[in-house]
Amino acid sequence: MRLMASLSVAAVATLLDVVANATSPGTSAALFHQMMPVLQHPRCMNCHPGTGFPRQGEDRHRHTMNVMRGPADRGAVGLSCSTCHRSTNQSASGVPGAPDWHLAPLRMAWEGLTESELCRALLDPQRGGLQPNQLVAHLDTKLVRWAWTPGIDLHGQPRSTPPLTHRRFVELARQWVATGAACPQP
Amino acid sequence: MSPQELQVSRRDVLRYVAGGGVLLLSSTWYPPGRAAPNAATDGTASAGAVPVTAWVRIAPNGTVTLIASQSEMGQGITTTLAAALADELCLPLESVRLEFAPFDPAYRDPVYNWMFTGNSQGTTSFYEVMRKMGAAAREMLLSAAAARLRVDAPSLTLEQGVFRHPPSGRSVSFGEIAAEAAKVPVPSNPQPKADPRFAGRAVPRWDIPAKVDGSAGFGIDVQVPGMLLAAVRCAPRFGATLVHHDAAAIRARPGVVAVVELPNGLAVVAQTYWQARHALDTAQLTWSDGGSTLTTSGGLPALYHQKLASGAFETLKSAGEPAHALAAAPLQRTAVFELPFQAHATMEPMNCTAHVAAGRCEIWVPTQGMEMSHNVAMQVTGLPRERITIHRTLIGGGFGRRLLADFLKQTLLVAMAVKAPVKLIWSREEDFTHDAYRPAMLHEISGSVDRSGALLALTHRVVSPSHMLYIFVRRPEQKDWTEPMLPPAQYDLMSVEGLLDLPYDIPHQLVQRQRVDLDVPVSVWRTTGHGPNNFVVESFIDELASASARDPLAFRRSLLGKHERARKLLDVLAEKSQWGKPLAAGTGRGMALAAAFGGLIACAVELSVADSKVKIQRIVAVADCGRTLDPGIASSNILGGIVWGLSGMKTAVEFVNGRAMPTNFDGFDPLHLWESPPCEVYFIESGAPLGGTGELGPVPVHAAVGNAIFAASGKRIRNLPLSRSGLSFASRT
Amino acid sequence: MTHFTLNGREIAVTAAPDTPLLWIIREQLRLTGTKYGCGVAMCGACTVHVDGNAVRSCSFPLSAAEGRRITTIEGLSPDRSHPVQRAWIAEQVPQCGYCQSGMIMAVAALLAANPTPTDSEIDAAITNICRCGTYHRIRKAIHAAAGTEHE
Repeated sequence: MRLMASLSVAAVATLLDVVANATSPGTSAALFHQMMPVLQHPRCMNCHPGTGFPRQGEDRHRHTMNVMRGPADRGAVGLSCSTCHRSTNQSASGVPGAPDWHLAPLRMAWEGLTESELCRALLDPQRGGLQPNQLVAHLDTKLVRWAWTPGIDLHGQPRSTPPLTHRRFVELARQWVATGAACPQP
Repeated sequence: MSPQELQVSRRDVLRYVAGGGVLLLSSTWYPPGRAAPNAATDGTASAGAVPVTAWVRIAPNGTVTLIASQSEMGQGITTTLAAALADELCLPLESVRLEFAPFDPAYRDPVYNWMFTGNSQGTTSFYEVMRKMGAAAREMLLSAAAARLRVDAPSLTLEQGVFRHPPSGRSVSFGEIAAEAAKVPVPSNPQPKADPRFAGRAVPRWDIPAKVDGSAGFGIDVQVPGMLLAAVRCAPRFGATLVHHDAAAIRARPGVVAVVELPNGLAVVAQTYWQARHALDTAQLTWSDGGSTLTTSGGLPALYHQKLASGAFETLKSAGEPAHALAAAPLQRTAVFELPFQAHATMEPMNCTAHVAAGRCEIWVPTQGMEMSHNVAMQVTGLPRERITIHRTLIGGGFGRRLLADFLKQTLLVAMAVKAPVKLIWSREEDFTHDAYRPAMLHEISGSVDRSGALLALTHRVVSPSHMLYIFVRRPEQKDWTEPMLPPAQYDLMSVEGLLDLPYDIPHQLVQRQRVDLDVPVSVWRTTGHGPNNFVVESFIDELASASARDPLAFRRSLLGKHERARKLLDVLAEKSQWGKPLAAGTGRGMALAAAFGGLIACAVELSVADSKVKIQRIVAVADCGRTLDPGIASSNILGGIVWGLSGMKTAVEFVNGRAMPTNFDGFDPLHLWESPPCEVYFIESGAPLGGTGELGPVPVHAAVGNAIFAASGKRIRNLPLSRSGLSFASRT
Repeated sequence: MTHFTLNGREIAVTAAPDTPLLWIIREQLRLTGTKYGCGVAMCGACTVHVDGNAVRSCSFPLSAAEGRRITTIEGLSPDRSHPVQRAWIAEQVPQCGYCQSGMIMAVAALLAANPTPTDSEIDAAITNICRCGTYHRIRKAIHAAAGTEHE
């Protein structure tokens, strides 16, 4: 205990990383487990639905105004996402924004999946469409990063952000990939 | 038709000839170069025009300007009334100009002796008057033409504004004789044409072209040279006041010119609305702790049920021996119904433009209440009537909200403080949170059916605020017309509207009311008392029919022994809706009948209920307004009214400790295109006295839908919105 | 200064860059056909075209207009001759009319991208609020302008 207490926070974090980097599938899967609260957070899950429409808000209600997925995940013809969602958050209207605002395609739907299923979906080339090493780069795109600077809603209330920092989340993802990207057991 | 309506006195005509100030007529503002050819224009278009009567002005070049007493909010009244005038003058409607009338007693609605637009009575109050006024002007012009040409009047023909004398080939136009016509005594019994061209035909509305190219001028669009813009916020909790704001910090924001304290809030004035709005949105405002504690919690405030249980009721109708008849009959039912508060939510938010300077006051406003606005302007500015000019614009939705003058008063206070023209615009949030809401209402209704299946007794207890607190016509000396005031009891019948004169033969009836006083603003909303009361009565009559194992339409029809017109209406409804035709499992049909606004309407709805979703497949409405003056306008009003009725089953306003919710459309979700079911409307020309169409459409919709939900699912709807019953409307496709 | 094309004209505007385009159009440019209805992109009354696509201008900052081609209701045609405007007049669509600028712009954008929409494609694209309830004639007029049949 005294030894731990005398180390800095950063040193403790590094120590834990070293421990985590031990190549055992159980540990790799545990890393993925730590990523789940972010993946399941409304800021991410709202745009990874399994339906023909997005969700919105902390309570994940169906997006108002009959907004639809559309043929290319960018809204119905005539009511594209960009009709309202621009490349930055608009505080005047409370409409969130990031470059190329759109839904993840249906094959990347995460709604209703267990931790094990979601993990396998990410790795499935038919679904995630990304190799594990590409995944980390994807997490750094502006649309994904939006989840951590989601702006305020139409009532002036700040949207909640995922429970980990973006930096920590990307670190976890990198470690997960480096340790073999193992999935939790069903 | 009372003699008062026939007379446009010579004194009135003279008033319009004399005095430059009076000739400055009110207007609709249009951007230069974009005015539709016969759009309502400002006074300059008819400069030099002679007022032949209060309703017809003719310029020397022959341009005819017709005066519109009523406000235009999409209900088409200005087209129908102008068409009647134009018809009598033998002119095509496209050739005339329209101007909105200023405030003047000549334009008062004869029923209330008050200048306003509402209660669906534009046609019933003014249509015949327009026929007579048009005929009067025509006869005056004919007389002048005959005198000018020195021939007998009957020898003249009239076409396109020109009188011709066929034997001599001479002619004279309206423009040439207008001044002489104005001097002819106004005929005391003008003769409208026996066969008017426009009556019963769909006339293209004069305001529609401007409404498809962006040139239509609403209040929010007014531009006056030197105008400043104001944003306003009043206390979110009714009854609270502003206790602190940092005026210097707000004034330092870009574009801000002034900060004006209002009785319960703050206005920020700037070069642009956005600058004013942004400065207000970022200002730190501190409100007082006190105020209303009204809370609805998804139902009605507790006070309503307390009053129902233990308060004193006033009897407004008593026929037969209702208590005995209820007790004695073999089948008896009682039900309690709750209606929520509602917001008007006009698409154009409240706004007004005003300039008070040099002892004059000029106002541009989308108002239904011309006389109310004039009186408030006099009270606020202290100026006499003749120093106040109100220009009426087109209205982006009225629904009763724009009868009030609270936003006008705010604008005048700001304009007087900054000594410049000011356009004051409410944000959508301010509009939702400072409405004068359709009040919540609580009903307890009981009925009994005798052995022969006749509806023997119906008793009705209503707990409601007065609906008339802000729109009641008051005496000039009463203080602050923007404050609520209880009307005398005999004028305050809106909360029991439709209950005192049901079309059914019911020998024993009782209607009682108990007023509840609230500390939040409540007022009249499209359908007034008819809408909520019809939901209750027609849902309950359906319950009695069902309990008697009777078909709902046949049951009602059997109660209309003395009302042939209503029986005929139901027969047409049965035919058009194929009432008896079998429906698929899970699908139900419901109907309702209403006598409202001087006419009759019945509505049949087919819908299915599955997984808490109500999918409306078809709505059929049949209306009898005596005569359908314009089938296009009438069907627009009814079809739009049906949508209003369906919206009212989705929306509600809640109160949390004296604060109104919601604050924007995310929490108040009216019907959209994708939920709008196929509708048909049919009209019966019974020749009965005229009824209005503006508010008729929605009246039977709530009950017809509720009754259809029962038929489809066995679930009775006794309160609104539908979400209280766990239901919502499905998309149509 | 922000430069863009509005209804075919080159425009330069100086205002705070986060000013919603809606208010630039209405105030600095004095084109009042585009309406304020809610300010939170829920009602559609503020709909304009940006590079041919429907955009709710209450939620589009001035800064994003740089270099774009913007069309308002006033620019849809010089004389109400756009097929949607003609259909709107023929079917007598508007009542109060306040929502109709935005409605017409939304419909024009839909028909430009999908000239023969089905009813469910119309439902997905036209979400503007009309408080007067003119939806019945809106649908009819869309089919008239598209030359398609009401289903």
